[in-house]
Amino acid sequence: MGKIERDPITGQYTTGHQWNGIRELRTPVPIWWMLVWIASIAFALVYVYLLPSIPLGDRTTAGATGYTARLNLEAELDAVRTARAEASAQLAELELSEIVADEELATLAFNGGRSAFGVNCMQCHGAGGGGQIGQFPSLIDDDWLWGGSLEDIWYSINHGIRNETLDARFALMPAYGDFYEQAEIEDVADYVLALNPSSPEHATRDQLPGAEMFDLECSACHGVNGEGGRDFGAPNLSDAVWLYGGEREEIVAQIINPRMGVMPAFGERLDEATIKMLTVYVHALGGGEDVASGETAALQ
Amino acid sequence: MNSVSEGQRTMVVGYQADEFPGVKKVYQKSVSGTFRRIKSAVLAAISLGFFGAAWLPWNRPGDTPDQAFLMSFTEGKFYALGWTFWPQDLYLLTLVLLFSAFGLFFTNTIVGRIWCGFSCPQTLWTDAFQMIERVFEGDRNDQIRRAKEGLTAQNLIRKIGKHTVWAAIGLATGLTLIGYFAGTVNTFTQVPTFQASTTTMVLVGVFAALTYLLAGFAREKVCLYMCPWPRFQSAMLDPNTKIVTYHAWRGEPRGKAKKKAAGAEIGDCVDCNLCVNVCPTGVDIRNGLQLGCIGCGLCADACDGIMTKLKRPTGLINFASLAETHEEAHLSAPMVEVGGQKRKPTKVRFYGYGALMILVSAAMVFTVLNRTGFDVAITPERDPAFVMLSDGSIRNIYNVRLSDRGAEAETVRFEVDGLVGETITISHAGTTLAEGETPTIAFGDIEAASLRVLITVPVTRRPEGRAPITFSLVNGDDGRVMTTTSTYFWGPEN
Repeated sequence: MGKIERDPITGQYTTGHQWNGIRELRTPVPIWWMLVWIASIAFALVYVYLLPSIPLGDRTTAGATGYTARLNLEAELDAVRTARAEASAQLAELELSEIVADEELATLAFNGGRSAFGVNCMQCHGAGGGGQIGQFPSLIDDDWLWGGSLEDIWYSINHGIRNETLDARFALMPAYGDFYEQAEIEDVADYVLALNPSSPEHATRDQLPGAEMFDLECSACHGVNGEGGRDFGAPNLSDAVWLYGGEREEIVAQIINPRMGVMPAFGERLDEATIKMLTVYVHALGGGEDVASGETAALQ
Repeated sequence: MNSVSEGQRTMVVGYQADEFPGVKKVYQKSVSGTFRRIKSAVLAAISLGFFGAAWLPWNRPGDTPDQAFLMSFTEGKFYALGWTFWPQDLYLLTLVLLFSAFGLFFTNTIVGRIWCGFSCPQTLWTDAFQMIERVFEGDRNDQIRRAKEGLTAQNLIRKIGKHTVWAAIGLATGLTLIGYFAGTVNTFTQVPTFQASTTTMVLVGVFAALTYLLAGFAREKVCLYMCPWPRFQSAMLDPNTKIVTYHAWRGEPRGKAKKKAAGAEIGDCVDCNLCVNVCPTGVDIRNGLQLGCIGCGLCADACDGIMTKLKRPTGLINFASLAETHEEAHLSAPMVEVGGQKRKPTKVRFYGYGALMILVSAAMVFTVLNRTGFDVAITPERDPAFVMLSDGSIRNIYNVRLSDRGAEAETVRFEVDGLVGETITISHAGTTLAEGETPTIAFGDIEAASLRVLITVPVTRRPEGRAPITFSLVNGDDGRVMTTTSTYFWGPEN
């Protein structure tokens, strides 16, 4: 230890050490910094005592307060469930028509349905329910494969379409490419195109070569005028909406080897209240029908 | 080594620790004079406004809070006297901030940092705290003496008294400030009894502690080290700006009054150091314009007092522009060189900031006066942009949010311009309320509504691609158009 002395240039004290004649100024850590440091240590000790902090592989040391973020989340979710319990029970119990008639419940169901839609339905049907041409049907137009009333929509959501559950909506279209020649199928496609009332050949479509085959093979499900059959999920062929495309070659392809959509039974995943909220939401998107499927003819 | 002179010493090591501005404790001496009176008046007015306006009641109907100025977070509304501002009026805040900024720049080009010196909360609260300090511990000399004496019994009692009053003011400030957001009556009654929410308690505590620390201890260090404004305010000055100026041509060289009386060739400054002792930031104005000067003019008050006593003309330190000082000192107007030519300095900042301030305030008045109580926000559904229906007609979906703050209309209906043969359907939260050409929505007591508006155009009339349309919202009571919004209607592009 050398002599602590004042440096003549700066007027500060030196550390007293000498290294090859070089002395170092004593510039200690400021006192406030030391105090903050000590306070931080004290804080850390208190923190470690009170809260979970030291990781032990699959868990951490338990704090004296018993707090963990996981328990906290569970408590918050419980609080939400409790807060919603009454409304959920009410939604699960009431008829769909009763829910829609009650302004407050309808708003609740619509908003709840929107968030449930974002989690469960949006992946296929799109954020706005617009579907995707060639893949998933639009839920906001007035063309429904299986019906657009509250009850129909509820059934489709609850039981799904062409899945492995017993109550799923189910119907198959045969692959006509196995039974007919390409030319015959193209004739039928021409006939199908003429089913639309705005087609120039609409009035004289019976003279088209495909008329006979349509009558024989297609009209049983799709209807004599191609108006579709909702009992079989058979699309309306006389309107402007085409799920798998309305071009001639797209129709031909669909007849040769039809594609048919599949949807899970959400009744197995979601509770009754959520399904009803989804139903109300989808029904209100713009295409909802007032009357259940069997009586929809009057609406067209 | 010892032969290094003072000047070299500073050059070698720059600052010594206690030479950094703000490190040495500033003991401010009290002073009287014009600027002190203005400062005190501003302090009184702003304190009265801040602490008083929080208690001002305002009669509002129903459950609406009765505090005249309340920025209610729970309701998401800002009540100011008879006005109610909603979150969608937030752009007005932008205008207020713009106005404040240009106001700051504008006053700065005219009279320098008077904001800092006279009305900045940091200055005001520090000023008030120093007044209290003087009540308990005396003026500058007494304070220095007591600091040297250390903690004697008497000094301790004085210190405790001072800190108690400081803490009380800090707490009152915190309670009042948070009172503007959570209700003054609430904070003043619930916080002291620990009944307020944790958020309120913590925020009151934070603001109380900050007031106590910033005004009691940090003081001029806030201006010197924390505040960004002093750093660029010098860029806002021009040669015509009135700044606190020591007229060196008149004051230098400094010397005792007796010497001058004896006929020595010296200036008017008697080097009494009073201008430094009264300075709230502890700067020496005689070194010229500097970052530490907040433009409060207390040094001018101090110097004028001395000059009056010496029967010399006042104004050795006063608010004067660089141009004026130059003219006095050199008996010629200052010139700047622009493109090789000498010209008088322009006043472009003065007119520029002034014009901007007038512009922004005009915009503010205009928007507030034309603000309707009725707001509509229309968001077209983008996924998908349009829907084709069975018969080929095209439908667009618009999410419409309405708010009727002034309860202006009982019913409203939509009208759309720019399409032919359209059908408008309103679907509200799952309930189709109305259908037809101009559906009507009963608005009544509802303050806000979110609607799904469907516009359908028949196949023969459908636009190709994008068509601009105008949504009008018509008051169902008197047919008056309340607001219009432009948007687009999308159809398939063939």
